[in-house]
Amino acid sequence: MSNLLAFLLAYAGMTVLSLSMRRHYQTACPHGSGFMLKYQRPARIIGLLFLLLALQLSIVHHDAGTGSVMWFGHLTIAALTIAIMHSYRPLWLGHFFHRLILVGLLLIISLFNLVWM
Amino acid sequence: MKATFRQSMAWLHTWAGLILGWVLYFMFVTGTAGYLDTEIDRWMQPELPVASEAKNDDRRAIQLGLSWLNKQAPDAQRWFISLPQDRNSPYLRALWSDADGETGDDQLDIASGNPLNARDSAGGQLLYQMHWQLHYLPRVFTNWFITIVTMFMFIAIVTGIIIHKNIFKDFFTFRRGKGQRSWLDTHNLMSVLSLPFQLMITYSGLIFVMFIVMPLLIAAFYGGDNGRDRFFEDIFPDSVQIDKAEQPAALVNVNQLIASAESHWGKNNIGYVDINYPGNAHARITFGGKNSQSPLRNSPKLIFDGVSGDLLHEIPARSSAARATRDVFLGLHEGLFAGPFLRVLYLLSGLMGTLMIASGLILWTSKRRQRLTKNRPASAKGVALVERLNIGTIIGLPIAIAAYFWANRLLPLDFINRAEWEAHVMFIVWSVMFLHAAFRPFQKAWIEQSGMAALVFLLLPVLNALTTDRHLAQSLPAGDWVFVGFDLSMLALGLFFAGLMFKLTKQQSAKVDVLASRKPVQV
Repeated sequence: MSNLLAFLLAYAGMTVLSLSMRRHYQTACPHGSGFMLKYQRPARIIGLLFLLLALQLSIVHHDAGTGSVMWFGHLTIAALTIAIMHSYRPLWLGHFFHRLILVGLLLIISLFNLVWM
Repeated sequence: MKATFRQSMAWLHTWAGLILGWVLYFMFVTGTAGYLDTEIDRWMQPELPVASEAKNDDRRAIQLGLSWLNKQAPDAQRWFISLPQDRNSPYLRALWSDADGETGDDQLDIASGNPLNARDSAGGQLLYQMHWQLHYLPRVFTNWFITIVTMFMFIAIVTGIIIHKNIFKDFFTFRRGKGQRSWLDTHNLMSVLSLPFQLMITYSGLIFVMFIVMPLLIAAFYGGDNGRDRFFEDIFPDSVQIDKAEQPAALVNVNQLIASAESHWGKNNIGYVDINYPGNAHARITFGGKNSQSPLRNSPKLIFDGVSGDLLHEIPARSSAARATRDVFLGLHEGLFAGPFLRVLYLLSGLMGTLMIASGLILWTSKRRQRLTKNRPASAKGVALVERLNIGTIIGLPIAIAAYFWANRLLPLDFINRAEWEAHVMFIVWSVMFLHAAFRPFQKAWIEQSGMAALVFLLLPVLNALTTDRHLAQSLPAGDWVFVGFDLSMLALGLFFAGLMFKLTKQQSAKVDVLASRKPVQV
């Protein structure tokens, strides 16, 4: 489960990072308020923070060696998923439900981990 | 020379990538399959029972192995018992070799100690080994050739990073349906996103061969004559060879050594037992720990005198820092420590590398085909050659690998040299694919080979159902995940190629429509 959580964190981080880029933001949120672009720098820091959280979780759950190897894998596959979504389903990425599902999943799995670990 | 640094790097990237791109593609495809080597082994020997990865009793397993070897090869030079532990070694195996170079390798039933009988097959191991040994070629040649190819790969990666203008800006960019632009995006996306993996795999690939390609480095510190031997003794003290003694001597009771190993590593943590000169006064018994659960490839070892039972050496998993660095890189490359989740990540990264090379090769022709229509008809032959080689490699190789699996199921069980013939079938089919690509028009060849690939992969689960009783309807409810996974992966590959075929067909008919609607040119 914590592997999944680490992946979701990487995925969330990549989502935020991609939406902080003008071109991707505009195709994903054509009617957006431009919030992400206005606060581009904080958005990017939060995105990176998510990625670091994924690293931390991976290392805690495995050891430093295996954990960091897995982290690179998470980053690769998360970024690839986001890139494919930006090309095929950009509106999904900008959609409110995408955020809702993502946050929901993160919460559920975190709780699951807290209870079972 | 080219005008700017970036231009000359682009030139280097293009040509280093092209010249050995097909070999690299072969290495990536077979190497990626290698991440599932033992799973493929198990699919290719369906007679074997579903390996239970439940905890086994080391003591009992070693005794079973010893009594089998005692019966089978009492006069062997070396016995080797590999204990069942995880996906890397799912069965109890007993191996031996004697002074005349004869060898034996049997998988034993962990309950009865009887050999498990299965068809003769080269398995996933051969596919995996091909990614650095190739096939049919002398070892010395392949060692050097593979080194050069890997070096080219490394150059291609580094120059690729240099010439990529917008690594961060285009990080998530994939513009589809735009012809050459889309291929470039695919190439960039695959390589940039999996860059850590590609750098690691190529660099560590070079570390595998460093003693072959940099012998002078050893000579500089250890001298030329037998410096190489002394170097290996220093770095790999556990592999020092001893000579056989004249007089025979009874082997020590192994139970006593197992107890000693357990006091070092805890209960049931033995990975293998390696016995040199059993029944001889110079017998040596090496106990190895279980497979490492981290990227550091080594496992600890205990070396005992095989007659007195004295502990001679204790070799920790991690010795010197330099050796540990090497072991970590090799461990990262092989990924043996990876559990199911990480294994999937390895597999996907390998596939991305494969796609990176394929898209690079396709990009080369698509760029030049555009230029051809404008001027320079002389280079048309070169572009045509590359295009044909691309088809035969990019689609032809997967078809050949599917043929390897087909051969495994269809060759009669008592076929002479059966395992070798599985590989022969693979290479015969591959040659046919090259011939096909050579004689058909490009567009048709791409479409037909994609269709062929779709067919052979989609029908593999059907073939499996017809020739064994471990098909999806049986393996799914039984939780036989190796067979479920294999069959589903084959279906997925088949669907991928089918999708490719439909896409190419649609593209071609669109082109024909455009041509047909054009007005004839008045001369």
